[in-house]
Amino acid sequence: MRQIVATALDLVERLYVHLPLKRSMYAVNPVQRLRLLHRRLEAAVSTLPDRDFYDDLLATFSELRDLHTTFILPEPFRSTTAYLPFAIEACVTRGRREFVVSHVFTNGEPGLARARAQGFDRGVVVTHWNGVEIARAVAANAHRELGSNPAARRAQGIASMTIRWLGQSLPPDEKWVDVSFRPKAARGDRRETTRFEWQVFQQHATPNGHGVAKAAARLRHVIGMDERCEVERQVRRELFQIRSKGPSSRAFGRDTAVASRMQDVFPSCRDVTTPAGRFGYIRIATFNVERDAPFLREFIRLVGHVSPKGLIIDVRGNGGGLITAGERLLQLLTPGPIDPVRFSFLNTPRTARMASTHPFLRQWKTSIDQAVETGTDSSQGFPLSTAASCNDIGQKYQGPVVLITDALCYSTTDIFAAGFQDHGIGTILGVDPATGAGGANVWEYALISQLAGDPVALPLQLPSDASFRFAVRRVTRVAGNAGVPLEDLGVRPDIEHKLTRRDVLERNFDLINRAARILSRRPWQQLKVTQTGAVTFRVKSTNIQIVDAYFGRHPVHQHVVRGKRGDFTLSLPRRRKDGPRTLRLEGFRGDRLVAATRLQLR
Amino acid sequence: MATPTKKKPRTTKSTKKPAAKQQTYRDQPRVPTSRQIEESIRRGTSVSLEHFVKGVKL
Repeated sequence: MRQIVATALDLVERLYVHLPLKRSMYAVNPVQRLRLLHRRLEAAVSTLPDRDFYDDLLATFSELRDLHTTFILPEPFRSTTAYLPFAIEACVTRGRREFVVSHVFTNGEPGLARARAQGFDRGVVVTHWNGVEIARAVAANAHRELGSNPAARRAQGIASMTIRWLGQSLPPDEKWVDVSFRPKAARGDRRETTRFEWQVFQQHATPNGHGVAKAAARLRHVIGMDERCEVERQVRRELFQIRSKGPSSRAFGRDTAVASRMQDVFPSCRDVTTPAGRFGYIRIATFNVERDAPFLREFIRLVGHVSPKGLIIDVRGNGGGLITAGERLLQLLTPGPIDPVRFSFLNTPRTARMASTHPFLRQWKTSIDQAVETGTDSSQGFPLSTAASCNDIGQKYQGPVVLITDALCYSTTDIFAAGFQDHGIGTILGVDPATGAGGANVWEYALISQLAGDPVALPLQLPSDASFRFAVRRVTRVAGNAGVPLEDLGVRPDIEHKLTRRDVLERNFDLINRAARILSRRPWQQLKVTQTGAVTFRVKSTNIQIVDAYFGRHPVHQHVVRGKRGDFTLSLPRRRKDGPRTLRLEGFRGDRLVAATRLQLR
Repeated sequence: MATPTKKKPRTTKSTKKPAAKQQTYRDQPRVPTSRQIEESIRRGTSVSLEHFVKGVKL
């Protein structure tokens, strides 16, 4: 136990990049709290009970309000998730906030048959939880959660009412919950109460241990993910969508769905037909992928099949994953260049040593060394994804885009949403006042131990197989928000939409209508080019007035389009043999760059 | 008479000293692959919380 606390103390003091921010924002002192725990353990005549020790350690980390920075309980907790056989979601009905049962298991979970006989089903409104008024019970739960801002804590609080990964929180104290609800056909204030026992889902052991981060070993240092959100997402998907029959409900555009080859990442891609028009819709459930290239290829393939008039990208509940996947995705949606976000270390002797030892961290070395003179807390910021890799593919979807976010969007998804806003790619429609606000690159303990090269203070194997995850490089935004941190602030949506009962029960009916109305007010454009001869190219355009042509970075031609739709041939000068092999077209409406496309020359 | 130039003895592969392996983040312990993670979830099982708590030391 003492070794675990000593390691935690070292990591918090010498590596945790948000320590100055958290101390000031939440008036907490995790260093002193860990020192006291260490002293208590040294002075203890008999050993501290495991439960008390874990409770104390978990409480120290929960004070930081940082989902990236956590103590991970050993097995069997790490591979176990507690759940109830239903889910609840908050919505607003006639100006009042209520909590509706959004999913119910259909298989034989204990207590479900009795509950069904009492009228418990999808759509019933929950009024009390163990005798406590539901809003109060959710608020109390939210208070225990690690979310950075109030919106994130509330969202985490609702989600954890019915599902909890035990890697970051000990099993619920109560073995069952008594749920009071208003049956659908109830008249007046009639309520029913039914009892559900907590169940636990245990992952099957794999030869390489448990874990949910899918990034390849060489990319483990570019992860930005809320691990708990990702575990619960995977378990929920397995229990509610695969083992249990999914909700039967109205859905937009079922007939025009595009089959995804990465069902876990893109569970839905289709056209949605609304009163405002027909638009594309794609859900990105996670950025938790092994490599970014296949992820980008699949996104390009999917959006190539949907309406060009506008695209709705839904990233709600996406806890992040591979940072490079989120950052490189931005270029596919805009004709302009992408500037990746910056990452900074905490300036300490430990980070200085890491930066001087490992070539991939060397660009941070000078500024960390200078901290001795400047006295700054954080190092200079550098990108994790290079500017070249963030702009190597270019725009692939040229219509207007709406991004739907919520307070469970975290880390890589925060970075993606921030980049979307900072580069003016489109409108952000949020169902919460902010995203989850996880602004950092997170490292697992095994990686930290290896990079630190200090086996005494940070041994590779901790007692009881315990582990940690730490935010080690903090994110600052770029462009119009240059220098603004993401942590604790998150991304504020341009427009807020309160979820309605129809959204919860009819697959986001009102939310998608709202997004479609936003898209219908934006002009759409298209610019396509094909090579027809050695120096001739056929260009088709919509809503574009001027087309500029470049070989690589060199301008070679300008064409003025007459009318709304253009279909013309460009005859370009013969390219030098050793010259650039790419033709790039940029389409302007007035002075504004609105579309771009690239063609690999034959 | 010109003396033949002395040829440099060829270094055989076996006499070369292998370069010391540098410890980098690439050498970290093996992690589960994407397929292993999906399999681990797919083959997961459910039990009651009461049953689970009885079996763990706390």
